[in-house]
Amino acid sequence: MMIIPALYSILLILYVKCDSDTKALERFAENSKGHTNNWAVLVDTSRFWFNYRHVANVLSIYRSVKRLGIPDSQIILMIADDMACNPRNPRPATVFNNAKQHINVYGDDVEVDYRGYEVTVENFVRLLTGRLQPNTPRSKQLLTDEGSNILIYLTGHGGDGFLKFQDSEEITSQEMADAIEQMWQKQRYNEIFFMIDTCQAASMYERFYSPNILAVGSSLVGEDSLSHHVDPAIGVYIIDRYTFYALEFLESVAPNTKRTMGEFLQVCPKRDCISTVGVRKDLFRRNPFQVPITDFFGSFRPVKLLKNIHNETINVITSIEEPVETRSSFRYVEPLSF
Amino acid sequence: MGLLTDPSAGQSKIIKILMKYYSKLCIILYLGGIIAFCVLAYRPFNSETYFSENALLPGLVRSEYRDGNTPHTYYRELLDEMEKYESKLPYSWLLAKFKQIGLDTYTHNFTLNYPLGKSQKFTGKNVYGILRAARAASTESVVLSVPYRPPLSIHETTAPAIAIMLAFAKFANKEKYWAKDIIFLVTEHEQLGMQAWLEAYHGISGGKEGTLNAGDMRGRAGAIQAAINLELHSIEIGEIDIKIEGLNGQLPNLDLFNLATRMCAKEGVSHTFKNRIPRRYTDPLKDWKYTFQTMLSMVATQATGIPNGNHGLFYRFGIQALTLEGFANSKDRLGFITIGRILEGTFRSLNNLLERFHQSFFFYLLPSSDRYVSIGLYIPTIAALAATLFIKAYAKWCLLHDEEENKENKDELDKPQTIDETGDHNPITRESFTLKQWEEKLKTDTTQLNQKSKVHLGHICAVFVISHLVGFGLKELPTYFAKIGVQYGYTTESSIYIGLALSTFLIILIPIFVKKPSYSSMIVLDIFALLEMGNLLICIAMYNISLAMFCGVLYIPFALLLSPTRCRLCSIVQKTCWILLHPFVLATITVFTYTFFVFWNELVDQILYKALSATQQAIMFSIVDSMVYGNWLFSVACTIMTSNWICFWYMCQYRPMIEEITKKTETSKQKVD
Repeated sequence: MMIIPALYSILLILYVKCDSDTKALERFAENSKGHTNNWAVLVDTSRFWFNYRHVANVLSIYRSVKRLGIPDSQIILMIADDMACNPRNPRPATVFNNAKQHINVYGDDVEVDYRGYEVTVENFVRLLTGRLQPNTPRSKQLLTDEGSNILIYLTGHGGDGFLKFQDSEEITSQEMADAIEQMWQKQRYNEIFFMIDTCQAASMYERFYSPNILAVGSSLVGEDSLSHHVDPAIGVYIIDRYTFYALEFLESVAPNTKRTMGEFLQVCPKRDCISTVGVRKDLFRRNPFQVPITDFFGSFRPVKLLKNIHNETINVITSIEEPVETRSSFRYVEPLSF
Repeated sequence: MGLLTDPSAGQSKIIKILMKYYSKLCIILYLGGIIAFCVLAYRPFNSETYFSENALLPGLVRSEYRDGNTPHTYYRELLDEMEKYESKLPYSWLLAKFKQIGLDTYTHNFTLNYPLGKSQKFTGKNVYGILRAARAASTESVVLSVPYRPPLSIHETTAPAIAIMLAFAKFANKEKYWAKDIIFLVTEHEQLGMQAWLEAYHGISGGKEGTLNAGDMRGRAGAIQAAINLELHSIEIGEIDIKIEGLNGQLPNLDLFNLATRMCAKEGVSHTFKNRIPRRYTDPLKDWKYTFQTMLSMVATQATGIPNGNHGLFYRFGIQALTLEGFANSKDRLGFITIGRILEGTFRSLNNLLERFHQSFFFYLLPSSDRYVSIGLYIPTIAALAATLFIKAYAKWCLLHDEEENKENKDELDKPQTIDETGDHNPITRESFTLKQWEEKLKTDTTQLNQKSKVHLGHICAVFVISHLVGFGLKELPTYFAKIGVQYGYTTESSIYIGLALSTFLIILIPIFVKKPSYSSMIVLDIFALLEMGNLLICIAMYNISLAMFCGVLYIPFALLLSPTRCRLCSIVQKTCWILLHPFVLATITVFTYTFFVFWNELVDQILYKALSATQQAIMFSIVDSMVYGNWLFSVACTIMTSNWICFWYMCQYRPMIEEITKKTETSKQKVD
């Protein structure tokens, strides 16, 4: 017979009552403009030591969005290679995004959700569209809804109409556009800010046809995106130009900022980037200059005004019922002996 | 063959034009090919070198090596040790140093069973230490090697290279960024030690089985990705020469060469290729002349197929390697620190590699250390040269074919008449010949001749096969020559030389007395030989463009002009030229002229003696090379070039009858009309 272990639990219920006539709530609802939560999908698609800068790019953006308030649970971080533990790294267990090595972007609290060979086109598309295996852990799911603003940041090696994943496969711009359309149809987003730092980056968002997307790419079709500088101590190109200047902007932004997306789109003019930063606004319904940058890079935390809060403890379980013995429908039969 | 024998083949307009102008076309292609090849050295026709491999990240890292004292200490210690061992490696000292530094240290023994003459044995011992990459699996490695030269060696010392290698090993062992093991290797007996070490490392034999007994080794470090062979002749270096020519004319990946030049440039060392500094003149002709001389110098080295340093033996194992040879000069005096920094930069770049070198060029020519000629540019030039042979062969085939066709037509016309003739076939005496009877006789005789001038394919094939068997025999014979010669007290090299000279004499003599069936058979044999030579050139060009170009320029004009002729003078000139082109004769002539140029100011008999011994040694070394290292030059010269030579030789011995020649010219005239 099985013995069921005893179980003790305490249930604590918050009993809440709300008054609906507060003006603050109305103002709050007005401000939210339809978006109720923020997500970020940050992807580095390239592996190998000489692509150190891509990992630095994505980790820098990760650090910024986290600082501006998006919690780890709402950031999907995909990194194709482990630069920190690469034997070639003379600074083991760190990733820097600047030759001055001020900030170790691979700090204590980096949660990489998809890593190494998990970073594939299939996983990326499944993540976006939500068509994942039923047993996929929560950290690997993009649990967005029709109120979610999503920041999608991609970096790696791209070409005209594709982005290379892991040196073995690539996602085409059409596949990317279709995945986003599927997200729209499944009501998985409210607005998307699509940011990509690759060569010929603009080709990746050209095929988009779903609404509410604001897209920016580090270079136009036919242009290469260039790296910013070398760290001679590590011996690699340490960050890409566009991301470097984007970060410079983001570093000046605090969670309560008044800076707008419009300003962010003007980051990295041609004299700095060498490539031309491409912007696509036709699918976006709002004026970027009236969109606070925190709509994508920060986080909207749902706050509910509560009044008349009572803490009540109910139903404390003190005793456990004896388990009822079940009637056995099977019996053990002695083996026949000859 | 189906296409060639297609009766409509000769009718096409292009073919007619080709037949009309083929000799001019051949001349244009031959000269054009040579000129194009020379012009490739001209700046606008070649391109600047560039890095194709992203993973190398050349020169991005800041050099941290700055220890000048340690190598100096090692150098002084080594000089003391070298006094104790005059002709051997100072093993104990090297082993102790490697261990002190903290490397996995091993020795490797090898034995050479000398393949020629008396069965002698030579032994040697290499020493190597492996720096294990602390944070990576031991699956890949890079090699830094130095050939050790004892005080009695005829070559310049490499002791400074060993000193800096040890100092660099000491420095590198403290660093934590290695993703590949580094093997520090000191070899003995120049290339022999290196070959033995490589064979033992990979567990295979490159030359003839049993010649070089490489033995086994206890310590390995995974697949070798690249190797740097270091030879410094002085502790203060003025310039570094980068050597790349390897066994059988193989070259390292151009990325590795670029890496070496970049590192030298970064540390401010003037680097040279073929001992020539990359120079730029404003005058285009002067500029071309300078680069062309550099390229020609590379071609000359590559054509021999003999590696000009220990790096050349790595290529057979798919390992990219090169030699950095440092010379002292009066201009610059750069010490150990600079060399250490070059090594550091190079090895950190190699450390960044993710897979074997595969990106850049493996086949190229260098007119300067910063410019290259890719295979895509030089192959058309050799193809143009080889094309002349194919065109000539095709033209000969068409002529032969037309001849046969005309003959058939003639037979048909002749037939009714001859039947009439045979009706009253009575013996006619010489005196009673009328003019008409003469005509008749001529006609019947020519038909007999036609019968006689059939192509004897069986005979040709037999000649073709036998000549190649002779070639194979020639390749195997030297071992026996040496054995026999040694019994009668001759030295190995002279017995081989005499043996080969005798066989060459026989090869020249015998075809003269062998029966030659008919003119057209000879033409068919000529076609075979031309095609073989064309194929040979293209095949050689695939792996060693220099050798192919050298052979092409030399053999093609004579091979094209060679044909059976009645003109005695022409025949004699032809034959003399062709004898001079016999690979053995050619080798002798080349070494003789070279010796004359080098020792031009000495007495004639002394020069002759020197030239003779140099030739003997050159031939013996090429045989030993083929047996120990797997050098192809001797084998190719024997089995294909000599065989091909015999076919041509046999063909041009035939003295055609007047009718055959005239008929041929007639038919060709008809065609032109």
